[in-house]
Amino acid sequence: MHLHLRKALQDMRNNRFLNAVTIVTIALAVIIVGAFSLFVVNAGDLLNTWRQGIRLMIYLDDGIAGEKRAQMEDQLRRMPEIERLQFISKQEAMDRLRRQMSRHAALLEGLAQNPLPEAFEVEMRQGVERKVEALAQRIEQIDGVEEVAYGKQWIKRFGSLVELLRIISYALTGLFSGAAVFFVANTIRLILYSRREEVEIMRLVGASERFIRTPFYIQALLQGAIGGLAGIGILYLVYLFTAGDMAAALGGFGFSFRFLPWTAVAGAVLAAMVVGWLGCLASLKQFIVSS
Amino acid sequence: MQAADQPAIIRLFRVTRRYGAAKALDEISLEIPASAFVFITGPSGAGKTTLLKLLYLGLRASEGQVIVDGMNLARMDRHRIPMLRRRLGIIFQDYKLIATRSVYENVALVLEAAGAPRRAIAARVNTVLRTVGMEERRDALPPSLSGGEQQRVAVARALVGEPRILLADEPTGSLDSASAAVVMNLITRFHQRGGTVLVATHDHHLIRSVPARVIRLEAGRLAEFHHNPLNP
Repeated sequence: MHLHLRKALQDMRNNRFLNAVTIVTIALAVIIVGAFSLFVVNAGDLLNTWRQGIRLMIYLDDGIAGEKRAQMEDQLRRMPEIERLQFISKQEAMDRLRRQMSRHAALLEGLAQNPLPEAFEVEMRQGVERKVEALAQRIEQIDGVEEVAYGKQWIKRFGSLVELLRIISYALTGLFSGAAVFFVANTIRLILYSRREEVEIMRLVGASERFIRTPFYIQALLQGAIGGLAGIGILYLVYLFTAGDMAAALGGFGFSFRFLPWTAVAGAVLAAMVVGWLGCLASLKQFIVSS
Repeated sequence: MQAADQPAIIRLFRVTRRYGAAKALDEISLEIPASAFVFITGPSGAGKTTLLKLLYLGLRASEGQVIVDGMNLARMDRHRIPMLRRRLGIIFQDYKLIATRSVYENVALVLEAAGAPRRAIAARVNTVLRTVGMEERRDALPPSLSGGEQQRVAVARALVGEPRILLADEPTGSLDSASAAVVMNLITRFHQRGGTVLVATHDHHLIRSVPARVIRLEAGRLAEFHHNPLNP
């Protein structure tokens, strides 16, 4: 094995350009697929954070009596999806608005009467966030409820977008892996053709096919490993430089941006090595058959 | 013991080799005893190179049996060809050295391919390079050597695996007379140590320089099989 490794490294030195092209190709494929995965993973996290933080605001009809309100509250508390329920009076709603608009509080001074409705603020139990729409519809049926508000359209659209991106990332993984296999196969084929005579001489002096091929496989695995590590490394550097800004931009959602899990990193390097090996297998098969 | 007393190490029985419709060799039958020195001669296109190729499975016979050192080549699986070639030393007119590898690496390749340990390889390669007088140039690349030097490296490569049979196809065809004499001297010394030698050549001076058997081919047929007058 030591001998084959030495030969593989010697070959890589002798064919620096072709090897560099292959490594860069694999690295680019890893960067593109990795960047997309990174985006999908974090978008998924972000969506979950939002879903977990969903609060329904149940706005009540004006002038509901205390008894009716207590009945409604009782009815709502019996719903299994609801974790916490808090009544917000008109006055409290106004106080909140004042706090939120602290710099422009003067705007609210001129109001003759408080226009804000009474409301219940509902926090959902964890794990049932996906049922928010059905829950909202049920609550809206209750007598005395004027409107139920939550970011429904937004969350639904974003969820579909994340799902679409996930599918695209699978397609891209397939596409770029295929392209990388093609590139590696072509590089090895070019190296083989440039060394046709050498391979023929090796056969004439009694070298077995395995002896001839092994350095090529090692070379392809090394190309894959180096390309994979380089791709992940570059992606990580980009992540380091941009993660801070991204997290700051999304900080308001209580969300932290993260890099790919180590299993995905190991998987990417391993996949890059498999790509190298497959490329080598393809070109060697063709070469052995044609020679 | 004289070569004639030895059992045959190479046997051909009614061997024909076709290239399309043309016959390069036509029903050749012959036996070569172990430790013999044999010249295969004849005009260009007579089938000399084809005959040698059949012996190391560079080509397969279209018909007939070829037996080399106890191995029946007609039935030999392609995965076993390396085993055959490790028992042979082969020398070509165009040397067939790997241009990007040093003299040492070219010779060592044979032992590496056979799976010999690294230390044993170094010792053996250095000995053989000393024998052919190329020890000083062990790190040189073949293109920087003269034709005579390259052929000496090729002889070293052929001998390093300690083969029983040496096949040489026009080994001196590209060399000046002085270099040719050095190369033939190395081949003769291999024969004197008990090795079997087959040299394909159309050079009559070369044939007369060494006591040997001579096989003459003409248009793919065995025209003559005689002892060189110099052969004792």
